[in-house]
Amino acid sequence: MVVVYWILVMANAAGWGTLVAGWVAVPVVGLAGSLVAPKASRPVFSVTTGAVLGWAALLALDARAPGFRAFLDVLGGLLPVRPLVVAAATLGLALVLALGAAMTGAAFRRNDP
Amino acid sequence: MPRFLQAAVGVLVLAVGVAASVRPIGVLPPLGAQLEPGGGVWALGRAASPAADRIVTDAAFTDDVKVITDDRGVPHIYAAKELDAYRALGFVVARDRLFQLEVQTRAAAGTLAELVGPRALALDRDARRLGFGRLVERTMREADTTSPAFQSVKAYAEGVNAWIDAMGPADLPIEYRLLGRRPARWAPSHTYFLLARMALTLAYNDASLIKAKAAARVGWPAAEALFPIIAPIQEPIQPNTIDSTRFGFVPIPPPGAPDSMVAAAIGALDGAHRTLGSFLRWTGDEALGSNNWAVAPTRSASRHALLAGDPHLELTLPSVWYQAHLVVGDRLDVAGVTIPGAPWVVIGFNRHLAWSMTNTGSDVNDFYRETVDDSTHPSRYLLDGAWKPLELRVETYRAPDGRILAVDTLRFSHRGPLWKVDSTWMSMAWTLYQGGSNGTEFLGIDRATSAAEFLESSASYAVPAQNMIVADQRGTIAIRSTGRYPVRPGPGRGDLIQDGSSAANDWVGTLPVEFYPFALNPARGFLSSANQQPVDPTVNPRFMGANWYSPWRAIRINTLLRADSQVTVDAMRRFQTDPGSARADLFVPALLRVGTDSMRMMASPRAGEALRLLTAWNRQYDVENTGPVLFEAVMAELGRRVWDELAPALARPGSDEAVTPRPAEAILLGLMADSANVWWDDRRTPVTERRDDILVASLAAGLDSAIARHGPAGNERWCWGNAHHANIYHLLHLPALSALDLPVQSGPSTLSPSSGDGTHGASWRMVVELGPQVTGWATYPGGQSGNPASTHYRDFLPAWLAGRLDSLIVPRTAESFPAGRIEGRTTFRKGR
Repeated sequence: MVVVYWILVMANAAGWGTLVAGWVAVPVVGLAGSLVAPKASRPVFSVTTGAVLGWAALLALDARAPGFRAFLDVLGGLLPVRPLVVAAATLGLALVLALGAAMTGAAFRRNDP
Repeated sequence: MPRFLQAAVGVLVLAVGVAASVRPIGVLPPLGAQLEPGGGVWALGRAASPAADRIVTDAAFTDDVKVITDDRGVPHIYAAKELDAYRALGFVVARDRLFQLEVQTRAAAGTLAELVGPRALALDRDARRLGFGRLVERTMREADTTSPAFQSVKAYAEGVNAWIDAMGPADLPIEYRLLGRRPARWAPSHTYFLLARMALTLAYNDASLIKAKAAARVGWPAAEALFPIIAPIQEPIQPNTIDSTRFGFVPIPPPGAPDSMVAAAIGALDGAHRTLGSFLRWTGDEALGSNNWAVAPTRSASRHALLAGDPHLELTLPSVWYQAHLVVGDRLDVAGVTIPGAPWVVIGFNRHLAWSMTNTGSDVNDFYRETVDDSTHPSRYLLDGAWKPLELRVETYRAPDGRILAVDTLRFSHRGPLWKVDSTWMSMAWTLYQGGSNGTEFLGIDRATSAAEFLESSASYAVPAQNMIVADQRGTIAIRSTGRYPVRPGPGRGDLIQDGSSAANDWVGTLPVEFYPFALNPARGFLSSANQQPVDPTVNPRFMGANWYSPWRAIRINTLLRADSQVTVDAMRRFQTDPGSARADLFVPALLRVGTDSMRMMASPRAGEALRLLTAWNRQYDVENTGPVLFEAVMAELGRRVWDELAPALARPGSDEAVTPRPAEAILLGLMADSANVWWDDRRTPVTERRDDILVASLAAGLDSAIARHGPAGNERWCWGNAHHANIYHLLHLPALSALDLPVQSGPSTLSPSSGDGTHGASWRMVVELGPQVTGWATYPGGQSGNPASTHYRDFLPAWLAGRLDSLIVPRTAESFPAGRIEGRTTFRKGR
């Protein structure tokens, strides 16, 4: 339950943080989250998963825009890969940023009781 | 995992993620800002609907302005003060076309490399050598900053910058994302750079080089006849006394001995053109061209004047035009197209009149061979026996990161910029260097209430010279070739290189407006222009240019208008994409006559087959027609065979020397009547040919060439719509953002001419009926938005391709705007 709770907290933090500050919010939130999250939340896992979910939620919001379909066509024409691959790359970037930050932060946590 | 190892792995993974986010990877821009949802590329879908209701508070505005965007993406701006209207226009143009604004301006200013990197350095150098920077600096220095024209430019700039300030992360156009750049702020000088660029596109017409090349190969007498200053077919803009096409073919002297005296001139001119390089591309005279015409009430079915506007330009996505409707109380109510970057409606209509333009194509630039004090680094030039100082100007080219890519020193005489061409220093005089249009004329045109006011307002218009046509509600129609025309000393010709060491060769003034080609309410009840020689030299022999476009389109327009005494709006629309061709109507019968010689035809079954196919052709360029493919192939073969004397004997393929000066096809038509003229002989063959030999050979070779290119005769690949396409490229030539291989009902010399590569064509089609309520219909190839994800990126294309026009709504007030046509509202309020 704690894990799910922290995933949701991190998803919200990464999502809102990205809207406010851009991509840099992910490593910042990842680092901070991994330092303060309780051990029971499995910080590296919950922070990383939360960040990826946060970006996935933002992607879903972007996809609701009326011009999104046309945008995917443009993207498909511009790049030699399918838009789905670009979406995967987007979530992959969130994963790398959050994982790196979370691992670093977790390594510097004080000994958990 | 040990902590230190976990920390090391974490830092490494984080470093990889951050590096990929902030640094480019190969051709990929930094991924962080690109991929982040909410603000990266994913948000472009949201930015595709920018017209959603919003309130903008900006200190630049002095009063409330309401902007309603209609369902075609066209803004209707309702303001109490004129400058606020221009601010709002700047805002919405920037919202829809921000990247276009910047890239067009940088292209003119020679600062593209600062946006896209060193690959644009050569383009930048070409642009700066033209001296636009010096010109715009002078314009800004001398501008009356309190004048309404300058104030409108300034207000427009404030509007553009208001959008840049109000932009959210999602609003950054995709091109900036791909380049990893941010938009630069807009300044009033950018508008003047843009106007200079338009002058370059439309008012740079140098006939000297092509004629000199011809003279070097076949002597001056033949060159003068092949590239005449008097077009051999006269269908002038200012109606002549006979009110019909006048054929005035003159005998073409036989090819003479090559004139070695002009070789040096050619080298110099060639070099000058190379120096101006990328800007000057001769694309052929039958593929390009704009049209406009007006019909008096006496010849219209509704008994109201009608006007058609059909300017042709390079086709781009987004379009060169941006449609808008501006209303300021009772003082201004104008609709039509603006050039993104300038605040005025350039072609359009108001509550009283409508107007349009075609390019005059007059010769307004001359080259001078200069004598300088130092062949490498001159600082003075010789004029009337005295050394005059050259103006030196250091130009620095920078990369996006500010690094210096190159430094040039430009030199200017009193005439204009100097360039070293091989060992010769050449200067160029150009009417643009005397000062371009500052917008005053358009402010007046947009507000004119009658054709007379229109003519008065446009009288001071300078560059590029335009055939301005107008029709008003009172039934007046008029046309005037308006612009600055140099008056030259001596015989007054501008198609020869002049000696720069004598001030006596300088221009002695400009033509007064009362001498401009002009017509008002002609008895025939209509007026038209299609880039042809504006005045029949039998009426007015004054030199205005040389090597004029063949008047095929003018003949076709006037044929259609003469045949219809009850012209309707729908007929005007149909005429704009009329598939008929005066060129085909005149050449095909001449080709068919050779078929009467049965003996000759029996000797060439291929030519016989070609003749059979041409006989069956109705001389129309509609998309299903298979005839144009063969006709165009035969005409290409014919030109190659007839003008072989003009081809260089020894030249590297693809080099400048390999370019064959090709006379206008009107010259070739004149030659058709002279079957034994020595120009018919193809000197590359051992026998001496006469006209019919060449026609037969061209027919056979044309058929073979068409079959080689499109398969067996008459198959579906021969359909014009499959064989010839319009290609509308995105500004960065990205295929995914372009509209390519579009089947179009048009071809060389039709009213909607289409260049060989399909990159030029009708840029704005408009028909206006000047009834009690002025009503307009129009379209252009593209759409209002520069965002490829927007439904307005290319939503006008289907109508443009089909030759349809959209009905334009122009409500007088925001309150009377039909609710069903509203896509979004933006309200501007004065703020801190």
